[in-house]
Amino acid sequence: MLTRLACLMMLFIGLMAALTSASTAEVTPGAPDRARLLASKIVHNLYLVEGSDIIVHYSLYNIGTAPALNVQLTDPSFNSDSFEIAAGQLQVKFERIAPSANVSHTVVVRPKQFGYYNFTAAEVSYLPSEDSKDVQIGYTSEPGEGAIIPKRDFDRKFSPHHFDWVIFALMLVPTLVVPFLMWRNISSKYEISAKAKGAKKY
Amino acid sequence: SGSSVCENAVVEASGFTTLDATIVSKVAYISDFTLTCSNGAKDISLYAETSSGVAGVARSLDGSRYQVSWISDIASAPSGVQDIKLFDEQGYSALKKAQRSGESSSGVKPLATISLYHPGAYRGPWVQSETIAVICSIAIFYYAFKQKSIITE
Repeated sequence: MLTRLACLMMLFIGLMAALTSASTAEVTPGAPDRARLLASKIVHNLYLVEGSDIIVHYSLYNIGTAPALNVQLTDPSFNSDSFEIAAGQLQVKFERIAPSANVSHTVVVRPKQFGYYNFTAAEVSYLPSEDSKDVQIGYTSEPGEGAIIPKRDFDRKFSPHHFDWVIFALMLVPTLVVPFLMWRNISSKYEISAKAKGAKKY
Repeated sequence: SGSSVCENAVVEASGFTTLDATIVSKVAYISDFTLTCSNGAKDISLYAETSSGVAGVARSLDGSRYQVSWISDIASAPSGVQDIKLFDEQGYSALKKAQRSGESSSGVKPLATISLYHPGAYRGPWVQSETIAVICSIAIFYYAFKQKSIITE
C-alpha cells in the first residue's frame, strides 16, 4: 500500500515537473510547432516479492503541437544481476507519436533478490519536430523506493497453508479419534444390550 | 527491401500475461513478435488494435522485434483468447477514417492477427483454510456435545 501511494506521489510530482517546464516553454509567441512528451513509469503491484512478477508500465503522452519522431524509451534500471525479465523489452522505439496521442509500454520483471530497491526513471529521447536535428532527452517519473520481500515471508503471510493445516489435523487424530473410537465401541455394545433387554421385556 | 508494403505477413509471436493477482494490481498482456514479409519488406511501422484501443507498436532499437502490451484492471480483465490486430500505415489510416465516420472498424482488414491467450488471474482461494478449520472444529464440538448430553440425560 505504501509503495503504491509512493508510486502515485512520484508520478504526480513527475507530471507536475514536466507540465511546468512545458508551459513555461509554450509562452514564447510564434514558436514553431514542436512535440513535448510527458512520460510516466508506474509499478502496478500490491506487493513486491522476490521471484514474482513486477509490472512496470510506461506511458508517453504528447502534449505538444507536432508529432514526436523516433521516440526511444530506455530503462537501464533493471540490471541482469538483480532482475530477470519475464516479458517485454527494456529498450524500445516508437516511430512517431502524434500530438495529443499516447502510447504505452509494459515490461514484467522478476527480482532475483529481496531487500530495498530504488526504482529510478527511464530515459526518453525524441526528435521534437520533422526538421529538428537536436535530440530531446527527458526522463519518466520515478516510482521510488520499494521493499522487495522474501518469497518465504510472503508465503508465510499469504499462502493458504494447506499443508500446515493437514499436519495440524493429523496431530489431532490421536487426541480426538482414539477416544471417539473407544467410546463408540463401548456405546455400541451398550446400545445392543439395551435393545436386547428391551426386546426381552416386551 | 525498400518496399513499404508487407505482403503475406507472417508473424511469430510469444505471449505473456500476469497470472497471480494476489501480487500484482493489474493484468499485463504482452506479445513479443517478429514480422516476416514474402516480398522482403523491412522497417515497417505497425499499429495494433487491442481491447485497450489502437496504438503504435513498440519496436526494439534494431527494428527486428515488435512488442504490443497493455494493462487492464483485474476485475474487468478479459480472459481467454485476446485478438491483437496489426495494421500498417495504410491500414491504420483506413481504420481511423472508419472510426471518424462512425463505421465499424471490422471492415478494415488487418495485416495479421495475433492470438494472445490469458487463462485468467488467480485472485486467492475461494474459502480461507482458517474458515474451513473453524467450521470443522465447530462441527466436531457440536457432535461431541450432543452425544454427551444424550448420555447424561
